[in-house]
This record gives sequence, structure tokens and C-alpha cells, in this order.
Amino acid sequence: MELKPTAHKTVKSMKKGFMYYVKRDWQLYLLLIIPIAMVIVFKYFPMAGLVIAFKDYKILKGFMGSEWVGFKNFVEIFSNKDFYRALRNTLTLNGLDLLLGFPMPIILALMLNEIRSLWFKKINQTLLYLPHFLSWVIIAGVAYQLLQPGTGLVNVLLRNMGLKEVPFLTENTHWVFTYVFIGIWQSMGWGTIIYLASITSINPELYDSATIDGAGRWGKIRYITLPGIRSTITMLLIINLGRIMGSSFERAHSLGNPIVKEVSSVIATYVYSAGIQAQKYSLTTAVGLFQSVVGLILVLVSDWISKKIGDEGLL
Amino acid sequence: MRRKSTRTVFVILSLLLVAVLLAACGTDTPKTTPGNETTPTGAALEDDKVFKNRVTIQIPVYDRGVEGLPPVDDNYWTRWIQKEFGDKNNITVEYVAIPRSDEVNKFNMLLAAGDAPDIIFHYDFPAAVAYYDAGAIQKIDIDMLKQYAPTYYQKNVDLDMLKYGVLDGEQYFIFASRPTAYNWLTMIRQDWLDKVNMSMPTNLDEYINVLRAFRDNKLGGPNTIPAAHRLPYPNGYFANAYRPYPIPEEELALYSDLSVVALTWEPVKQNIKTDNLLWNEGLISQNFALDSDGTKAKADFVNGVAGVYGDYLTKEGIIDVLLSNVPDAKLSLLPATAGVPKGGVPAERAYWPFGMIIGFNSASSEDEVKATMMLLEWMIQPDVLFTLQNGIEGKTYTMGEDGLPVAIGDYKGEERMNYNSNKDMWCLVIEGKDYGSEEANLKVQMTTFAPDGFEYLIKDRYEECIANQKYWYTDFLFDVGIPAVSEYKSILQEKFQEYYTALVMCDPSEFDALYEKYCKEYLDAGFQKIIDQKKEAYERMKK
Repeated sequence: MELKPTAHKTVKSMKKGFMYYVKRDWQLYLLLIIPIAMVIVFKYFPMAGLVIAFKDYKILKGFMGSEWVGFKNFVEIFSNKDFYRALRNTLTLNGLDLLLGFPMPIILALMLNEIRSLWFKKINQTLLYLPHFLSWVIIAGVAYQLLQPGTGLVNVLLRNMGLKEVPFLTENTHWVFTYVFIGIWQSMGWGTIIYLASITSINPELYDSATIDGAGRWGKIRYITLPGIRSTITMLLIINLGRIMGSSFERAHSLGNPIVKEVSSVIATYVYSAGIQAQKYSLTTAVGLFQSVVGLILVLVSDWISKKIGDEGLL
Repeated sequence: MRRKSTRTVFVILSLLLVAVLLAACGTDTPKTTPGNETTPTGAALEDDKVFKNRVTIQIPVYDRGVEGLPPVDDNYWTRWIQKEFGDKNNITVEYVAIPRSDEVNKFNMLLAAGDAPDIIFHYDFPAAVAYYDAGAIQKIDIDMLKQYAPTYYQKNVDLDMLKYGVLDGEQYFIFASRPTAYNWLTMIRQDWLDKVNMSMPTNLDEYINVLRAFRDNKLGGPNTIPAAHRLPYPNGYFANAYRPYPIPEEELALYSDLSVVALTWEPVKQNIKTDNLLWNEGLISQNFALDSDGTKAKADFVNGVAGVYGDYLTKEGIIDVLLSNVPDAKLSLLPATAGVPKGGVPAERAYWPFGMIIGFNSASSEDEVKATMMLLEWMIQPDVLFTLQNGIEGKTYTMGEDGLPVAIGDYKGEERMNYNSNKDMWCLVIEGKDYGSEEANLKVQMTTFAPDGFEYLIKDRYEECIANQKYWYTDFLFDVGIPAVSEYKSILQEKFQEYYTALVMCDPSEFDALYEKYCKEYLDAGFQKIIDQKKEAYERMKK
């Protein structure tokens, strides 16, 4: 008896105006003001600063006082060789990260999910999460202690075993892969959290029926778990694609060194040296704007594609 | 009832949160005067110079991030200055920490926010001029300086330093003086030299042979590094010993610069070529490129792996550590001539006669400038300076028989000195300790910089400096700012480190081709613009 009027009310209230809901649930709307204000203040207000991408920003003149220069900053960037090098490296490194790094948390989550001993699983999860909490400066410090030529622990080991030293950090190709693998090591544990959460939401009855139908572990993973987390995978893929133009300053800066500058300079480090250090704030704001616009386009395109192929989109 | 009150509380709280959030981001009321808003103008009494109303001045102080010391902007000595100077003159002295490695950024951010201290300083002249170009420095009223800082003014006059601070016909900067210090030196392991039975090298060829002998005899163990080498400072590759002597003035003007390395200049090329040879023969640190702050080079030396090492000698941290690792290590000064190729002279970069370059913030009020001048005047008084430099007798120093102070290095009490004997505080008036005569200064330096038993290093270095000083020269000083230098220097500095690394680590047969390529890129990245602007400024000056 309770159900019916409620259902009725819902249908009816669809026609009611916005103000009706505001009046009825005003406490909830009030609660919503806080996060909205937060987003507006910290995400939208600062966007006004983007005007300096079109100005010749002088720190003492301020946002308003600086001169308008139109697209001069963009022209300057797109005619700069260092920018293209940084762009190329950003795309290569992030592409490799995505290619090699994206599947890792999924594989790891599937493996963790199959572990039956609870304490063993918990210990493993904790150990896997740990690197996520280390700062890149520390990780890079450890990496250099272990991997540097001559005195690095790994190279000493290799040498004493009669093998050749590997220039992990001092040769371009080796550096790229060292960079990517350290990144995967650092982030894969943390990445499993969302997948594990989404695996738990799969109805256990499906597994039971699959067992009755004679499915083994592989079968269950292949036909139940993976399809069950498919939408999560798509969502994260879209998010990650949106980040392909972005780059982590700490990671590239602390792992890089002058020998491998050719491959280690990414947009974030370029912005740091050309913008912050050289105080060309206009120029780097232009770079940031370009980066964001490309990122936005990538997200929109991948969202559109995923909707086309029948998955849920993000937007 | 209860429900209603909860609701009210909730409403108030959420409104408060939003308000706080918005308030935090609201536009600040434009702050034209940094410092205290209670500062009235013209409050100073002309006679005794004590301010009627409290004046707050903000003084920058370098923060070098040295561990284990109290904060640079709040410690015994800042409080001492407040007590001895501030309270007596009705002035509040606030110190503003400026990270040493990021000073220009910090100053610029403070300037943009209208929060910059009353003094704006820099050790490098072109960088100081850049602040002037940005409009951050106010004109100095010489009469006011004479009145409020007569001693300081007189020192500037006596050392003929004021002329450097004149830009476009007006006085914008004043200067701290700079007595010479003799603790920058290169050490060589004398015991290694004895073992290979070789005498002290006196030119580059001999030096290379000594390094080869160090390498071949593996004197520092299996990983022997004959000479410790680090990644050069991004601005500090002067190639002094490779420069022509006497150097044509125009070349000096175009290529000698403290902030940008003249990669395309022949002496620099020759110097890098030597480094390339040394590296390829395994005579300098093979991983120098990973050592951008010199810690690895220092570690190699104090661990007894490396045979040659150059640094600012300090009483603690280098030789004492080496001795604890290698008790029978013996050290000698490596003469400057050991780095000089055939036909060259042991030239070095001479300092300008001034130390810190000081300008007053263009947003500072007249009273703030006066109060700051008074601080400079007070600090330059011999007794004040002596206390600031040496601390408290019996605690941080003892008085020697010759009337010169001897520092007690390990005093850890409340009155302990800040880094480098409070240098970053008294650098406003002088760049070193001055006890009136060369002899006295040398004596103090020997006990200040060298550990017991190694004072001869400073003395040898002093004698070498005196002997070679005729070959030294300062950088050329332009009477205008060179905007391209400040615009391109950080890009060029980064490029220099990258190119230098590649050039040193390449096969000697590829060196010339690679050098050509990098020179072109370097010129394109802004160095050509610097040369052009310098040339123009130079020719205008010569007219």
C-alpha cells in the first residue's frame, strides 16, 4: 500500500518546476552549494587568468595592465623546436604508459580477486599500494642508487655475474623503458582499487550458475568478471586518454638527467624551464591552454566513440 | 525543537563555509606599501632619527636550506637585531626568507603580490638590473643616504663603488664591499703523487700525465676517479685559462658573462674539448652528468676514491671526513697553472669590488627607506659588525693572543651563529670578514676555513692569488641592462648543461661536428640575440 502513492507522486512531480524541489529539499541544495562554490572558486575563477596567454604578461603590471598581443605567444611556441621535442616526448611516454601501463591494474585486480586466502590478499594489496604514496623524488633517488652505471647496485650485481652493465638511466631507449616501468610499478597497485570495487559489485549468483554450467576459473574470468567490469574499463580508458597530453612534472623532472634530455623533456618540464624559470608566464599559459584544449578534444572523441560502439559513455 | 535548532546550526555552518571560501579568494585591497599600514609619512624626527610612530621594514635574507639550524627569519640574531637596533629606533625589523636557489622567482612573486621586502638585492649585476628594468627599484636620494647612512655612504665613496649603481643617469643601487676570500681552491692528494713518484704538475700536459698515473695505479681502489668532476653550474663555465691574454675588450664584453655561458666562443670550445679528452680517457668522473649538485664529487673525494677536488674549503665537512676515512691522506694545493694549456696564463674571473647589490623597493615609503638606511648604517659600525660576524665571546668564539677571534665551530647553544657566521645577514654591508689588514684577514681566514693542520692550503692559495692576480679581470660592466640576457638565460643555461654533457661524452672524432650543430642551436635559442644586444650596447658606450 505504501508503494503505490509514492510511485504516483514521482510521476506527477516530474512536471513540477525546479523551485518545487528547491523548496522541498532546500537543506540538500544548501549542502550542494559548498562543493559547487568550491568548483567555481578553485576551477572556474582561475580560468580568468588564461587571458595572459593572449597578453605580454609582466609581473609588475598584473593581469589587467599587461599588453594584449593576440596570438603572438602561440606563434612563438609553435615555431619553437624545444616545444615540439617536449610534445613528442609527452605523447611517446604517455602512449607507452597507456599501452603497457593501462592493462596492468586490470590483470593485477583479476589476480588479486582469485586469491582465496584473505590475509595473503590483504598483505599483497597493502604492499602494492605502498609505492603510490612515495614521492617521485624519493623513487627517483632510489632508482638512481640502484640503477646508475658504475656504482648502482643492479649494475654492480650484473658486473659481478660477468654480465654487461645496462645503462638504464643514461641511454635514451633504456631510459624510456626504465621510466615507463617505474611508472607502472608505482601506480599499478593503486589502480586496482577501482577494478576490485567494481568486481565486488558483480552478482555472485552469476559465478554459481557458471560453476554449475561447468566453467573453470578462466571461463569465469573471461565470461563473467571481464564483461562485468567492462564499463569501468571504458570509463578509465576515457579518463586516461584525456590525460595523454598532460604530464607529471615530478616524475619526468626527477628521473631525467642531462644525458637523456632528448627523450626526457616533456611539456611539464618545458613549461617549468621556459615559463617558471625564465618567467615567460604568458608563453607557458599558452602551452597549458593548448594542452587542455587537446585533452578536452580527446575526451570528447573517445566518449563519442565509446557510445558509438555501444558502451556507456562518461558524459 | 531539537530538530529545528540542529537545522539552524546546519544552515549557519554551511553559509559560513561558503562565505569563508569566497572570502579567501576575494580580491585583496591593492597593497601599495609593503609592510606596516600604520607607517605614516614624514614621521621621522630629523635630529635624533628616532621615529615617532613605529616603522616596519622588511629585509630579505637568503634561506639556503641548511639542516639543523634555526629558521633564517626567526632566530637569536634576528631578535638580537630587533633588540639592539629596532627597539631603540622604534623600528620593527622583519626578515623575509628568500630561497637561495630560487631567489629571482621568489622576489618576482613577492613583487607581483605587492609584498616584496624594502630591500631588493642580488649578487649578479645583470640580474639586479633586471629588477630595475621591471620597475621594481626606486631612485636613491643621495642626500638622504648621506644623512641616514653616512658611514655606509662613505664606504661606497671610498671604494668608488657608487658609479656602478648609476643607470640612465640616476643612482639606483648601492653596494656592500667585498674583501677577498681565499678559500676557493683545488686540492690534490699529495700522498698519491708521492706513490707514483711524480712532482706537482705545472701545466695541463703534466697534469694529464699525473691523472693517467693515478688511473693506471688504481690509487683509490677499483673505482678510482683521478679527478672528481661534477656537472658544471649552468652559468659557470668561464674557460678562463683558455682565454686569450690580454683579452680584447670587445670579446670580454660580448662573451664574459656570469649568467650565460658563451658556448660559441673559441676558449669555451677548447675547454670542453679538454674535458672530452679527460672523460674519454677515464680521468674524470664518468657519471658527472648525474651529479648536478656536486654531492657525488664530494663523496668520491672524502671517501678517498678521487684524487683531485675543487670546492670552497670549509672547516668542517671535507678534509675532516676524508681523514676519518683515509687517516694517512695528505693534501696539497693544485696550482692554477695545472689547468692551463700551452701558451695560456692562469687567468681567473676577478670579482667586482662590490659584494651584494642593493636597491630599494619602488613601493617602499620614504620612512621605510630611511629606516632601512639606518639599519645599514647601524650594521656597518665596527662593533656591531664584529658581533654579528663572530657572535658572543666565550660561546661562539674566543679571542686569540693576536687580538683576532677564533671561531668555536661546535657551539650549539641558543646564541649559535646562522649558516656561515651569519653571512646572509651582514652581507648587506660587507661580503667577508675584514680585520683591517691583508695579514689579519689571511690569519682569520686560515683558522675559519681550514681545519687544524691544513691552514697552509689557504695560505698557499693566498700566495697564488697574489702572484696571479695580474692575469685576472672582471666581467665587462654595461651601463644599461641587456634584456635578452634575462629573457633567454634560463633556456640557455639548461641547453648548456645538455650540450656540455653530450660534447664531453661523445667520441673525440665526432666532437667538432657535434659542436657545430649545438652552436647553431644555441645561437638560435637566443644567444645570437644576446650577442647582438651586447654589441649594440658596447658600441654605444664606446662612442
